[in-house]
Amino acid sequence: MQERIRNFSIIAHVDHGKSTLADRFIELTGALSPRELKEQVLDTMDLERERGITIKAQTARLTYRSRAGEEYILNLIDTPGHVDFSYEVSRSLAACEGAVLVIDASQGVEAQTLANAYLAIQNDLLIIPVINKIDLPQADVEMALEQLEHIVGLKREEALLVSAKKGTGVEEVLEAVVRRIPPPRGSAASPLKALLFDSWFDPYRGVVVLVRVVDGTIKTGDRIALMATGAEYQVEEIGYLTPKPVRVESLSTGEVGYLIAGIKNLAHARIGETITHKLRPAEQPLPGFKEAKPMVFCGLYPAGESSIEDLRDALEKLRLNDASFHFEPENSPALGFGFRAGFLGLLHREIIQERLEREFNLSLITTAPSVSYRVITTKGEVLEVHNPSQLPEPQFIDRIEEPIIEALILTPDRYLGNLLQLLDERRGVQKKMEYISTSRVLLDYLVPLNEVVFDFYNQLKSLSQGYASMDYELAGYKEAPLVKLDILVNYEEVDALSVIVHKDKAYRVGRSLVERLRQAIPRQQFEVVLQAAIGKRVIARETVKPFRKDVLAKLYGGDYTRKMKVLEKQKEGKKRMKRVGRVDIPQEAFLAILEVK
Amino acid sequence: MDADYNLVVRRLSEAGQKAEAGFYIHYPFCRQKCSYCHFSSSVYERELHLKWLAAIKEEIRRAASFFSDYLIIDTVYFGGGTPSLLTPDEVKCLLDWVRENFEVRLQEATIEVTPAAEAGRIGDWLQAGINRLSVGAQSFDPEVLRVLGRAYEPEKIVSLLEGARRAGGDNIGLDLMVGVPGESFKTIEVNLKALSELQPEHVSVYLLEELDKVPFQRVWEKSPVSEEAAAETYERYRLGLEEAGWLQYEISNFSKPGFQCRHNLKYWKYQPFLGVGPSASSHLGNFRWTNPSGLEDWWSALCSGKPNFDEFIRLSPEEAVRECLASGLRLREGISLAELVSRFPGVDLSGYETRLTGLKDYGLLQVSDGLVRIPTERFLVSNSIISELLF
Repeated sequence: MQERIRNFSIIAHVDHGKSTLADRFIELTGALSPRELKEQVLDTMDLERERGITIKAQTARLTYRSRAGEEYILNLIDTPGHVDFSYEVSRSLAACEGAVLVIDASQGVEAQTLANAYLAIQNDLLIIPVINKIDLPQADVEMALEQLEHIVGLKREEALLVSAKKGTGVEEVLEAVVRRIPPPRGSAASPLKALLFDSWFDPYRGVVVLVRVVDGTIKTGDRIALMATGAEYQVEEIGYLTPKPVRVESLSTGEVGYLIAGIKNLAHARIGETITHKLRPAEQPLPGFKEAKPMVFCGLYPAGESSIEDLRDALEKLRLNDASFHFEPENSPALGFGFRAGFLGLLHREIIQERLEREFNLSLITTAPSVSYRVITTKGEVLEVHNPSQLPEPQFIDRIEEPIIEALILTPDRYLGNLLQLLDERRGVQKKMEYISTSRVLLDYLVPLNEVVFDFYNQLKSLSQGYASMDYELAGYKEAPLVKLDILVNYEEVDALSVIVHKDKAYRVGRSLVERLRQAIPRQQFEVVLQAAIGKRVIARETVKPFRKDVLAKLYGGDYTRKMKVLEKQKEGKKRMKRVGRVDIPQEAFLAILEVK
Repeated sequence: MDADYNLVVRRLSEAGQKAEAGFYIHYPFCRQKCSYCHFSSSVYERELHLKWLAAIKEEIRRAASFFSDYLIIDTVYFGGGTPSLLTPDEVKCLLDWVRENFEVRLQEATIEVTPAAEAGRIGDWLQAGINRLSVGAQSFDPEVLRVLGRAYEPEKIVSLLEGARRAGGDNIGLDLMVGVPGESFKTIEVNLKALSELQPEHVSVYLLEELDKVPFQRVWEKSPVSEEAAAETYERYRLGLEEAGWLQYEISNFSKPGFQCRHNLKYWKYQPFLGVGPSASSHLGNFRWTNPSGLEDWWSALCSGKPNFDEFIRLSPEEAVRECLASGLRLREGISLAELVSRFPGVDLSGYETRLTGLKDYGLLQVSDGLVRIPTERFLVSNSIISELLF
């Protein structure tokens, strides 16, 4: 049985056709009838489909009869498609013995192709390279093969040529999966070890987890323990997905499936956990478990008609389905009660914000993204500071360390000048720069995350006309001369507008920021004075002139309706604004820092 | 239409006593249409004029058949259009017709007069029962009159007013349009000087507004008046008029003591009025409605008796409080909180109190002697203040 199992993932740069290929596999193996097979079945959420990315990893068991006539069980493990979720990707890959690496024949190797390939290699996976979209007129198979060999370092002879859209070559991929990927190792006689590589919250069933059984067997009714947290549960149901759930009595060594065990809270079913039997536990957990830590933070405040209770309720509901974002109550003198939320990355932040607004119909003010600083005080304490306004006074700070990421950027060389300049402005340090083909360059840079959260990705895209691609991972912390830049509105500090910046950039950022704020804050009944200050020192000032004329000259018998409309419209316009003192500050102002050059 | 009127009647009959109401008659014709005007009017034709006369009498009769038991008419206002195209006989006939159909205790009867009107008619209008003239002078600066497309010279305004005085007119209002392209610093001087010579009892100073959908928009787009300039201009008039003895009593209105326009005060104090003619609005009880603005629509609604309003609104007490506040705050004296409570019993005003305190702290509203008001120097930004208080 174990001999006839193949566990594998499809990995690719975003939009290179991963989901389409997965659809074809499901279609070809008959796991779903064509009627059931909607386009891109593996991307379940609307938002994912809209953005063309997979956020929630899912899996499907496929039954495949090979050309040699033997029946195999293929466990296709879908992986999230964005850099923010690289830890989830790595755990999904840890559940596999092989990976299908998809490369778009018209685009060639991109940053994420590389990052994912490296992850697969680190996990000792056998890689089957697939050149996809060969039907496109602009497809350049030769280029793609060339890059596969020279950039990724895989043999071109191993590559399969495919058009997932048309179905060309798809069966050859499945053949390669059964012939090239080794069957799962592991011992059925050993104590149970199962890797938890995905989990979600089902409103009817509670937490559902996906596991890969590495050693032993797991059955319905078993008492199990999660080795990292020590929590114990009883298995209520076991099964596999086709992607529809199919109930079975047990999963044995090498198999992949779901289990439901009365886990109430998603936070207790962390990805990377090892599941074992309570009575006959494994000695060692599987390697590689770590808690996915939020890297990007921002304040979320209710605006308009929305209340703090509405927001709390929505956040709690969202968290049921996404244990990787964190939130805690925060009280801002300027904005009142809200939450500080932590996200895996920038896209993750955007997705959560969009879901809060769309699914829960909330009006929100979000503050500029921040990162987590390590502040070492003069007393030697280490503080984690996620919010610029929480930074201690300078005299109590011994030093500040900021998170650094290692960014892999692939770009056509004609944009190299632009990107080097951008990286330099963003305090990037070059680790490596190499031509990987005659016209493409791979940049390997260390960049402070605080520079990346401020619109870096959009800049990268616009400076390369969309051609550059990037992947990153956290590379550690590094000391830096950072200062808090305060913004004063009518001589009062607005904590939610404070930012932490490098000392050398503070003046420029301060001037640019108040200038942006002047544009973002509409005229009001009074003059609004905007100042940027470091400590007590004001370094920049702008004023928003008051509006002078906002009046209906005439009001006669027939004008009541018109007048009330005008007045109500004014109120409407203030929905996405937050009042600080007497000043109405719109959402754009809180994000003005993103547009500071 | 009758069905809707019956709703209003039912409401009025609950009051137990007659209400003093204003009566507005809309005359919808002009010799020519002004490019900045957004009121309902069309070009005068003798035949249409006669048709209007017959129809308006019918509308007055019908309105009276519903409402006369509940109203005492104490002001009449002929607006337009150019109601000074009505002959003194016609005016007399209409006033008599109102008297015949309603209980009338007339305190004020106003007619809007264009400066182009024959001064000779004024004595006859006064004879007919008119006791107040509202002259649409607009400006004493020939350049501004030209930009506005007004077909008369400043001298014509002067001679009309002199004629009115000779004929016994002792309650004359004069309208100015300010914030107009082509206006100069001198315009203000010229206007204030003319006013001090002519000494009208009442002055209205209107900032040009509502530019979309009127032909004047093109002129404006070519040489717009900045918000700053318009605001400065308004302030100069406000101070200049006060200094010369005209007291501001509403955002755009000034008068000598005792000469506030009683009819218009009804709009700002949110008191009842009945309007007839195309586009005319009425406000009785907790209902507001507006006649169709097109002549044809108005006529046919009248002939068929089928309800046809541009708007017919039954106001909730909460909505009424909002409108009452929004219009009352246009007055310099402001609005009485106690009166608000007694007029709209049962409406929760606590939300207003919190917002009012906030606005008061920043000097955007003043409260004294139980009256809330916008300080006169904040009138120019009154929309934002009222909007904050209301919503």
